[in-house]
Amino acid sequence: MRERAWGLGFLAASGAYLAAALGFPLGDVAKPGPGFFPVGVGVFLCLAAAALMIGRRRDPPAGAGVASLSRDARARVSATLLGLVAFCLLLPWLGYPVCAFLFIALLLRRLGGARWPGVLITAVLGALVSYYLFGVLLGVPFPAGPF
Amino acid sequence: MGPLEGLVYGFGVALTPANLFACFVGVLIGTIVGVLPGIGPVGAMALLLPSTYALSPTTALIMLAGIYYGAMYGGSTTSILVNVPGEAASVVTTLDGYQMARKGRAGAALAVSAVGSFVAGTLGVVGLMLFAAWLADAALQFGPPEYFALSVTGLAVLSRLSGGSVLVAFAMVGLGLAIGTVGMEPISGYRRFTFGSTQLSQGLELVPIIMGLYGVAEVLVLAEEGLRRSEIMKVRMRELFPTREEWRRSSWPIARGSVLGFLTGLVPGPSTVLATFISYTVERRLSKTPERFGTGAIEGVAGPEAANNGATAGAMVPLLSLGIPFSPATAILLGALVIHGIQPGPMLITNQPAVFWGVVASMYIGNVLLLILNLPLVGAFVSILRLPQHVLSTFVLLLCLVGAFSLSNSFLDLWVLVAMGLLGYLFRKLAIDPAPLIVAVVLGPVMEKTLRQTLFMAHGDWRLLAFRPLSLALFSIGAVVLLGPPIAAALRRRAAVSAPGGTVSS
Repeated sequence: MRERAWGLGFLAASGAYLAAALGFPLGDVAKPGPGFFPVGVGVFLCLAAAALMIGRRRDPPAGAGVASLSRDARARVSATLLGLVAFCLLLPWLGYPVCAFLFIALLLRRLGGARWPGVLITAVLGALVSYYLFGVLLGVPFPAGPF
Repeated sequence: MGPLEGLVYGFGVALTPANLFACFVGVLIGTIVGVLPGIGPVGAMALLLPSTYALSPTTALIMLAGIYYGAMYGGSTTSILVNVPGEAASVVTTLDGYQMARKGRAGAALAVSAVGSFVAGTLGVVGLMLFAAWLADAALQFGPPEYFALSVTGLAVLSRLSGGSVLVAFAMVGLGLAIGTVGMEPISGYRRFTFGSTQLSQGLELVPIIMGLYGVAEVLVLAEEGLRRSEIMKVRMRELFPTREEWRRSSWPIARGSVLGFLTGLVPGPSTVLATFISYTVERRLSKTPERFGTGAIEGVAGPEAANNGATAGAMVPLLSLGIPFSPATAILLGALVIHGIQPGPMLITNQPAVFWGVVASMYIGNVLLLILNLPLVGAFVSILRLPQHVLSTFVLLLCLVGAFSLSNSFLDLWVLVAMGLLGYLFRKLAIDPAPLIVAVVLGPVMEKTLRQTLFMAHGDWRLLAFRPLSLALFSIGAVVLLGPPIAAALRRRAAVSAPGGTVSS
């Protein structure tokens, strides 16, 4: 069932891509326009998605599939994703050192269950050393943040 | 410039202090990422690509190439000592390497693996030197139709060889081609799928896509699995000497693995992985005692370890002579060339001799450095495995974020990284290989440009695409590779049915 949902989602996304591509100037075979190639790609994607759905229905894959995760595993994956999304959202507002500190602290705590003193020391050192290395030495223009 | 002159010139370039240091750093990082299960050479190369901006193009390429072939050496160490492959191309080595270690022959397995890698790496560079120059000369005759045919055939072959379902691989190719159409189109500058964003009009950067699909996805998988404790076998220096019998058994597998690996590397696909499986199968078939395989046969270590190193050299041939990458790792090397303002293609050897010959010569030097690093220092590399996995994962992710942002100081690249990480994780759960997607992202713009140029040239006559001799030959190869196996299977089924009393087994 879940495989079929994936297939349907992929088919829908391919259809949306093709619909958007049809909005670009297509040109003709002698003078292909900017839409020529994307329309071809869109058709190819839709055919691949449809064939995939038909193929999977006829011959469901053995073994492959999304196995359900344990509660702990789901918590660790969610924490990692949350850390990544929060870093991207907060970087423009809080700046690199603070974001890096929070990111390292969250992941060390959630992935390894490390104790707070060790987590805090590693997070402070990690944030400062990486800022010095990339921001100061290599000149990456990180957002300054409020500090 | 002939091969010998070129090589002398290349050594002049590669032996400058900056390039020698870059080569050392590259092979050292390569060995470390090879040893560490999780982040592989592709993720590491993508991660370090932004840090090469300040370097000259030759130095940058020498370092990145060093990571690529260095990882093949390091991968065997973890396979032999921990029974966990450091990267995909070392999976086969676990079969006999770990069994040798359990019998107290870990040192011999490591030594044979390092020497095999060295021999294959060095022979592969000779092949690269001769083959690439010849192919580049031939490729000067290529026009847009041939480049289009080459890209299409490359993707078709990659889809067939990448493992798993061809339909899924096709879907990945389609997805990669679609990603490649985002931004300004290459001929008239028309903006597509940009939704009014100026950042999107530059297109999606390759590096966050690769870092996401490989680096972030791998960390998410490790996060799901939780903390792992591995038992690491100890190796003493005096154990690093194989017996005469072990050398005798290894020499031919190393020679065969080197040649097989190089030839496999020329073919689009996961060549380093394929080469090891092919070599293992060949050695088992040729062996008078095939029952020893899987119980600690040294031939099962020597052949595949030579093969994966030979394949790295082979994979450099289409990149350096045609400017076309057929694997994610060579796609990053192509990205590095483009970022440094170098036009890849058959004129690279003529226009940028320092880059081509410098990289070739650095690969000889790198292989010597790797032999020195991997034998006496094996204990030091293995100790890296004692680093807590959650600390390593955290800092790998932080490096991915910093690396993606530093590409063009764009928040968009950060979001692309996260989205691709999630996508890569889902692919891993569905057992889908993302390699065709990445190669299609790179080849998509080439395909579009050459297709439209061909149609402009031919005033819309499709026959120019398919009926130029070389295009026809390339399309035919693609068709045979793609359609050959299902047709052969159908014929076998029909023969089984028509045989007296025959039944079809599914």
